[in-house]
Amino acid sequence: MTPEKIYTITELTGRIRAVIEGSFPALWVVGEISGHKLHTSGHQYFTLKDENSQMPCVLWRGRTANIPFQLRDGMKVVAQGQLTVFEKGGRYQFDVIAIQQAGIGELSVAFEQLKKKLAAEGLFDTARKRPIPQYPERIGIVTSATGAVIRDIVTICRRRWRGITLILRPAQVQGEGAAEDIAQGIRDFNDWGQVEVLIVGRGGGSLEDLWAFNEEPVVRAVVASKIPVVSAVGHEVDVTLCDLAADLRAPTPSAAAELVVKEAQELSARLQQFHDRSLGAMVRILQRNRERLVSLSNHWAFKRPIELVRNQSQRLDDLEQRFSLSTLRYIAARQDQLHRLETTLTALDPSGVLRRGYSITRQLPERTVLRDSHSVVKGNRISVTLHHGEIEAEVQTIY
Amino acid sequence: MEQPKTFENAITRLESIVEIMEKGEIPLEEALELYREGQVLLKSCQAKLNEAEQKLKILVKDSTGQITLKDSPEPGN
Repeated sequence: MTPEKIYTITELTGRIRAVIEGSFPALWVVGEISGHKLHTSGHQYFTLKDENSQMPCVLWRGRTANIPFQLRDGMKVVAQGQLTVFEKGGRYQFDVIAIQQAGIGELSVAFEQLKKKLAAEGLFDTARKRPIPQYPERIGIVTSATGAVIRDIVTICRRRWRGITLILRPAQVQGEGAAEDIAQGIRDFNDWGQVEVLIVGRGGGSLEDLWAFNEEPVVRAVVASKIPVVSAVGHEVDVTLCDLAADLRAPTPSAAAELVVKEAQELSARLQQFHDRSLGAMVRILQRNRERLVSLSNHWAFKRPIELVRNQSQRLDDLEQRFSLSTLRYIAARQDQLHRLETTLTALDPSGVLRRGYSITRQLPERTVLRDSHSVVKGNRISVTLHHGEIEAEVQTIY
Repeated sequence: MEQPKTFENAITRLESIVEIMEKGEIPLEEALELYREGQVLLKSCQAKLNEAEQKLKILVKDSTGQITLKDSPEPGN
């Protein structure tokens, strides 16, 4: 058997190429990118595939300027190009001229329509946004158990305020049923009611990956939540309807954690301020009361009935006792200024002195307080104030 | 006065305690009472800040709709 014609590989490949290029003018294909490689030459190589088949593709460097986004594995795209044969490799390939994300047009139409509808209901109004608690200790999180959100929050807490309690409601964040799961997660936290703020979100991804956060059930659950919601979806450039409905939008999951979790150190400093200010105020109040006491004690010995003085003294005793029992120990340790004040208070308390058995002796009728036995002479009348009652007497002997 | 349960409530209460005390237009007894309340709040807040254990729990809803918490293995590693 003699062959009619023997082709060289180059000849045959050339003919195949001519057939292929002749049969398939420039066309559009839809598929998912995989095995994407950016060569040092600037050309990009990848495979477009669907469930059953795949096709090698090339995007020459000079054409990348037409592509407004970065190609990534897993991205669904529609590509325009020319089917050809790469002769050196002995395989057909698709020369890509233009490329766009599949379904992006439909998705953005759906997004705009839903946004318009929900906005008309007032769901995105700033007026209905709730304030985010400043210092939440219990934070509810609706996100994937393995994604960036929970990882970032755990890391940031470890650094900022370890003692905080994070409660994760794991949710499917992309694909079929994700929107309903996220919405249910938000409702679960509301049913449970024991967190102060919710973070709802996921890490970055394609528009489709983030799509659940643009769906009505999520938006409605966010709006209906009694617990304030912080939305943290994707990267800064990704704005979802969930972001618009939330009480606060964080540009990224890390940012959400930093917005919600305060630094323990900072809070500690704040507590110290409260401590110092209340102590300062207490000292000033005590000083004012002491001044009042001083003026009162100058007063009472001469003008007030003893009963009134005793009442006042009793009250001071009470206060002093209560004060010294719990707070004073602590204060005295930190500030001996207060200790001195307490001493003053005690010294000023006339009843305490009288109770211990001392008495006050006055010359009558002037009622001047006697400090020296030689201030009186035999036969002078004097008054002695005791803890209970008063005695009038006559001087008999002077030493 | 109901005892504030959260850190947030405690801080809000501390703010108003300090403000009232700084105005100083209150009787001594009342000031002491506020001071003591403030000390209690400060102590409980500080204890919360010093808490060193990191707590991550998982919210679980069973088939009857009952919501419970279970411990989580540390994530992100």
